[in-house]
Amino acid sequence: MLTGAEKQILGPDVEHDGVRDDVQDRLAVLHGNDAALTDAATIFARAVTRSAILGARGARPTAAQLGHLKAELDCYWAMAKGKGFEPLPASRIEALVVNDSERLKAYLDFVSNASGVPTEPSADAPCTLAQATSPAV
Amino acid sequence: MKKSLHTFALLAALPLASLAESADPSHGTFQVCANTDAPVSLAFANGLLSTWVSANEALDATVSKLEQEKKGLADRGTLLFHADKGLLDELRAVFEQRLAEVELSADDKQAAYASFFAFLAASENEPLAGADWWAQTRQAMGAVVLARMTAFAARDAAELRSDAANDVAAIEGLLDAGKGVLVVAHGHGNLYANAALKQAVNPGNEARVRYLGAATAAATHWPGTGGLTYASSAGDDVLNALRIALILASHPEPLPANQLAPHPVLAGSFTGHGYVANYLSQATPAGASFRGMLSNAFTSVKSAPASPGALAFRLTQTAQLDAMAATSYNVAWTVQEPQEFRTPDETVVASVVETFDPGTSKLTVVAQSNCGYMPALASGLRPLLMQTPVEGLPPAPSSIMVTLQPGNAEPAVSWVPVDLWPHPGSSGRWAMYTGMIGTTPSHEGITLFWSASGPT
Repeated sequence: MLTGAEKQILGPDVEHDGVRDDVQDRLAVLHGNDAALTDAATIFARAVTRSAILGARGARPTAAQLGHLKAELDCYWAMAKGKGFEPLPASRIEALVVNDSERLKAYLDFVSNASGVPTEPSADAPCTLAQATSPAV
Repeated sequence: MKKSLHTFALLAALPLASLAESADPSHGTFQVCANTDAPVSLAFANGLLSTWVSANEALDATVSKLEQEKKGLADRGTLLFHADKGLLDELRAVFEQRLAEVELSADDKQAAYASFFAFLAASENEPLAGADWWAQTRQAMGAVVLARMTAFAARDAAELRSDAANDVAAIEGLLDAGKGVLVVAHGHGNLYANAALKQAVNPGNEARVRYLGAATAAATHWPGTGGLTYASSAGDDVLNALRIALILASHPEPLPANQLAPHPVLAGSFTGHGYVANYLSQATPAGASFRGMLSNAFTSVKSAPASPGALAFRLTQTAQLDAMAATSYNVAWTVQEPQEFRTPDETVVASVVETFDPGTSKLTVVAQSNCGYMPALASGLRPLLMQTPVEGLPPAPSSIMVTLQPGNAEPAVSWVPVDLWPHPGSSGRWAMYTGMIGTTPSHEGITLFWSASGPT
């Protein structure tokens, strides 16, 4: 369960998929309403959101968490390249998610403590935008 | 009186049947004895102004560049990541302070965050926020970055070595897996790469390592194995500012710019320092040069002699002086490492069996190599002599001699003096000496003798 502060970092998420609704809407526009591309970008946005929530908890990234973050970024790149679409810089997607002071502090706290080699996630973990009642944190 | 010490024989019987001829095709295309086409992995060390995500983007862009040339990387690369949390905190504080001073619409505020993240990623995209506000904010953050870069580049070697511990482990892991390693570093990542390579590379594996720096902040570079090891553009404003700051602070300045072509005015390119935007770009002279160096470095390490990964074979001899005889060492041997050496595809290329006869103090090591891995095997055979200095007894041997001798009772073909140097693990009353053996794959049935002699 997310605490109140963590829910603030997540923001409005009617679909309960771990990504703020306005982020998903914006990603759809930026990707020409291509559903598959939008999903791939949303998967990475969800990973950024999850990282910010973990950062708000004061957690240091584990190798597995970094592995997921990298894999979810890779999903987006692979999908975009496969469709001949120039992917947005990851910083654009990070900025869509991390757009206020609390989110910025939490996210930077998390990723700036990254070190070591990420663990490859299991094959079924990334690249799917499954419905969830809360972010997978 | 010269003290006579034991002489021990290491018998290495070496049937040199070529694995290349007998290899099971189901093991894939890795040619054990071919000494070419080694699997190569890329390791990327990011610059100071990076986030974890942007550092991964830089790694991926480098991998993609090599893949475009169908270079055949062994994997998706390894990120040697370093973050400066203090710098990020300072930049965040400057950004938020500036943000609080203006009234921005929701769209402009979103653009400001996008610009901030682009700045953190050193991606040099077009400014997305209002031009004047962002220009001033960017200038203020740039001053913070320069101050931090100057302080960072002036750090001492011991601190860098300590901070590079994860990088050392990552590079050693790749080498131990039998891969060639191409280390690419940007900006301050070169300081870490230098420190890591100095610790991870040794005479036994250096042929499988190449190093290439972009916009290096380092005053010297790990030498690599020939050719240019870095590209720094004369039009790199960040590097130029850092150079001046370091000179003014009486610290060693970065290596000189060696890419002197005028820096073109690219849309969105502000500093000439960005790794992807400039040094990996097809649109800049420095980029064209660096891309060529990258390709050459990869080809060079790809064709380096292959060797099995787990050649960390070590024999540890605990030599305790015999107080009564004072003329010989009583020796106990232990083999610490796995005794089968495998290629990445699990082909056993060498095995070692050792026996020790306490009665004669004779250690016999039978090393069987399946193909032309003798150089690597021999370089893995590092007789480590550990001596416990006991008061009143002779000091450690001053030299170790090694001879390589055919197994068919012919005379020894050579005596090879072995360099001795204190092992990094030496401490206190323990002294450890390491000798390297060199040989060639052409010997069959080689007998390795080594003896130690002490000073008078």
